Amino acid sequence: MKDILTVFSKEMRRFFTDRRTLAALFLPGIAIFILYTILGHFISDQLVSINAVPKETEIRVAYTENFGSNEEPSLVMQVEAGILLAEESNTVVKEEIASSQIDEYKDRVRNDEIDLLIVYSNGFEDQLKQEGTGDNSVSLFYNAEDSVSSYVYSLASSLISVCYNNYFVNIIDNEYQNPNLSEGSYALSQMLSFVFPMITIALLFSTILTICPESIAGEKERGTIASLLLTPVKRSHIALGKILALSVTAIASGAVSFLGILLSLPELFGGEVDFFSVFTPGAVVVLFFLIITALFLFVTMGLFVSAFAKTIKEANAYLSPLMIVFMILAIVPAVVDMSNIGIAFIPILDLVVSMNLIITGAVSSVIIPFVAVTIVMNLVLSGLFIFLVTKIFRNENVMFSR
Amino acid sequence: MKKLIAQGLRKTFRLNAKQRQERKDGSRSIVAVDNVSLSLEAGEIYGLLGPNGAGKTTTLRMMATLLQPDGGKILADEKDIQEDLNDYKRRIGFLTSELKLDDFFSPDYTFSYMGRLYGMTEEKIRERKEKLFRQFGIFEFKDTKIHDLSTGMKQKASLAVSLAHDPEIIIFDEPTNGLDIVASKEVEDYLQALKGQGKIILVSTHIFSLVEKLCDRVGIIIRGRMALEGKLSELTMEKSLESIFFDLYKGGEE
Repeated sequence: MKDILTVFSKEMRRFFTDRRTLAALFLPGIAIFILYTILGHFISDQLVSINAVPKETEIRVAYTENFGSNEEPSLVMQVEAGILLAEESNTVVKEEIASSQIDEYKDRVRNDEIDLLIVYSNGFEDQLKQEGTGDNSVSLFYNAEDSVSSYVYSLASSLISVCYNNYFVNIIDNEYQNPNLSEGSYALSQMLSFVFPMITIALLFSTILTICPESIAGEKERGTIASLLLTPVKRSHIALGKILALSVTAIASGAVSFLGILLSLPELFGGEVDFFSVFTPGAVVVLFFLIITALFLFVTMGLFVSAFAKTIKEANAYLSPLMIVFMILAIVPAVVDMSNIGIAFIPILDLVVSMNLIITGAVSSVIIPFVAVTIVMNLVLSGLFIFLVTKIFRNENVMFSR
Repeated sequence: MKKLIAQGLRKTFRLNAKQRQERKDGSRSIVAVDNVSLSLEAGEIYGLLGPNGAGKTTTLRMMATLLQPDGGKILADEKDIQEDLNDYKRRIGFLTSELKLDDFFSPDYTFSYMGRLYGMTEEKIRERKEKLFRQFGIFEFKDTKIHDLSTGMKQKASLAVSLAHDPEIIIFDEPTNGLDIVASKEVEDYLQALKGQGKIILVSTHIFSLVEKLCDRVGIIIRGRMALEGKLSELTMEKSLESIFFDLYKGGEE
């Protein structure tokens, strides 16, 4: 045990006194937090500007006369009502135009003189009343570069179905109601279940790429491994000391990455979503434990693969294709039956599906057994790789290959 | 330890695809060392002489336990080293230019680290460090990272580290390789001092003058086989070591 700790402390000193290694280990987690925060603010700023309700603004809406009825078209009425309901200080200027003026008014939309142009097909409203026979299309024209025009277009687009499919149920007492009556976070969790495993695996693997090639292949390249193997320390103890140090380092790096991802995702999604509805304290604890065991598996596997290389560069060349395979596996849950407990026996895929199940809460009956099997699989496979790494340390063809 | 004997050592290496292509004889392996025997005694320096690729380093690596022989055995005081390999490992110090110190650490840390791996107490480590660092003038750069040391300083640090555990058997592969004349002289003097302490010393080299100056016994290895072995004084009674070597080398070619 003393020998294992001696090797462990030397490896830890190696990782934690080298600024480049420290940066490679801990910057990705910090960087992802900073990057996603900036990106999130940028996206939400964009959304705010698109969805911003203008104030004290004269909003100009033009529509063609050929809708077929003498009355004002219901869409125009609803748009006006919608604008005024959202902000009383606005005024709406409506203008009925002839079909021959359409091109002229398109230019006026381009020049920001008109915010929205509604073009009806000939006899649109009459035909609609006759249950939609013939051409009954309605076209909207707006200027995407203008926020007021974008706002009115967005409002009109959402009102088309309301006006022309008789879905007036959503407009009660002149008050808008959200048609989505769900109180859950289904959409958010679906998005997260896709994004979270991918980012997590990418970050964890980047940690492995930093430390595993360095540990054995790096020592071979620098010519220091032989000095170590000359000592009376059992080779299995040398291997275990290295595995322990790499695991602790990877866990420290993984924890920073995990925190970075966890803290950055609310920022990425605009900071207004109820994140704790997805990441409950229980889910965070299970995810953390799942990721720790996965890291342990990644470390032992990375060490095993890189042990065959003679140089750090060669070790990276061996490990990089694995990362591609892992990233592909990260998107597979979208096409597999997650209720199939058999998947829990497929390494890496089980990790991704477990994360997916925890985040979405889908197939709740299998979550506990699935995650439990995944954790056990991670530990069993880590044990197998530890055994193989200790065997490799006794293989002179591998340790002294040139 | 009084005597170290290698009997009929043999080592074969598998050739990789590139090496097989280069050799063009279809062989899948190469015999690096074939039936090599040596006999080393305490208080003597044994010089293993041979051209590049003759099998000197492979023989030394087998003697140092880095490589496992395919055939033959090594006896330390008539006991097969495989019976207690770790005990044997504690008794040997191996230094070769291929064995390097980790660039990230200082000689001071590396010495302590290796000392711990050899099971030395902290007090013993301090004592040996004091002695060897003083001997090789390492104190002034003991806290400098190996990466920032000159080649000569690195060599001195390597020498000190390889002797940290006060080994009874010292195996040096090309001990003066890469050293300037001052450092070479220091190493030669130190080898003589170790000899005086009754250590068993095995050095490999292709420098005749070094063997003539330092060694008591010599073995000439050519193409993996021991061509000649004996006491230097007896072998060089009629001819110089250089002449003997080239006669053997040319004879082998014919």
